[in-house]
Amino acid sequence: MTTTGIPVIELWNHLLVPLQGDITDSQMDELSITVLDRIRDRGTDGLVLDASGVWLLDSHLCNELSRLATAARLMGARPVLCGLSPTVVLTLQAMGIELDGVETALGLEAALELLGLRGPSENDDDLATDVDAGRDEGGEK
Amino acid sequence: MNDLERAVGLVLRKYMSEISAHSVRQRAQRSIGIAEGSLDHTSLPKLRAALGTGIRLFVDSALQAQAFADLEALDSEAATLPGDDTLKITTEGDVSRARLRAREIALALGASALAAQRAATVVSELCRNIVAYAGSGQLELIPVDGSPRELGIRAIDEGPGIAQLDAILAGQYRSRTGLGKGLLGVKRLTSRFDVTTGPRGTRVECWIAL
Repeated sequence: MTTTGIPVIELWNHLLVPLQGDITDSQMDELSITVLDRIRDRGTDGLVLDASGVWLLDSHLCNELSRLATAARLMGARPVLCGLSPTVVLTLQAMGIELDGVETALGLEAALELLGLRGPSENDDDLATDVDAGRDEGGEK
Repeated sequence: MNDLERAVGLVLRKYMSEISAHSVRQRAQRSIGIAEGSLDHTSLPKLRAALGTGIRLFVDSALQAQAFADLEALDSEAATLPGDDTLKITTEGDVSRARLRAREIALALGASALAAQRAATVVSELCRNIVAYAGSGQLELIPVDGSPRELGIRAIDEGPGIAQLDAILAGQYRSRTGLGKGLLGVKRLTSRFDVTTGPRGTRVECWIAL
């Protein structure tokens, strides 16, 4: 099968999906199958859906993401959605759309921490600050 | 902020965040002694020179030349509203193009990032409904001058109509496909909202304050 697919990255016993740009229905369908197959084959603990590269989330895409998250949970993986931009969040809220039953985190780091992965210790302040600054610059695309 | 200042800000925003763009423009303008709100075309060249520092600081070196070129293009640009735009909607690709176009027009009208996002989201919802339920239709984007400026959005199709309209707009209808949520969301995001629907088609008209 040819693929213009969204990457699914294996991260120890978790899966990381960086969602980017415009996501088509066919990409989303393919993604769901790929992710669920991997969960079945590997017994994944966590599934991180990183939406920081998505500039627009409408009700349809939200619905698809919650369905994928729910399906992952049914197969025993813990789904976490992260990286929603302020404009996306405020728009969804104004529309009255909730991501039902999906656990969320601020950014990728927070999502991974939620799943029990640890970054550099608290003492490494310099590194942590640099990473945060980089994320802020990239946020408003 | 006058229209020209807004236009300069919009150019800068293509290359940096909204907040940076605003402060870079204000700082440069202050440095050449022009009060906020009184920038005109004669002082544009001076402002461009003064913007150099900010652009070199915030813009990737590969993009700086393009940023300066965009600023120079402002000389010839009359401060006009973008015109109406009509798009045919039949495929998912059309939906993509439509929401990008809505965002672009909203920003050109001076919308904040949030208002532009709302415009794009409304267009996305309406166009998705066209593709999913009517097969094809058209979308009109209508800039409206005023205070505040508005973007009119009109989606027209000749599909089978929306049977549960009242229930949807009252928030009592939940479809598996998400149609109800989308249309109700559009109503909530817009300042005026009007739907005419019947067995021969649907027409949604709404306005977003920018």
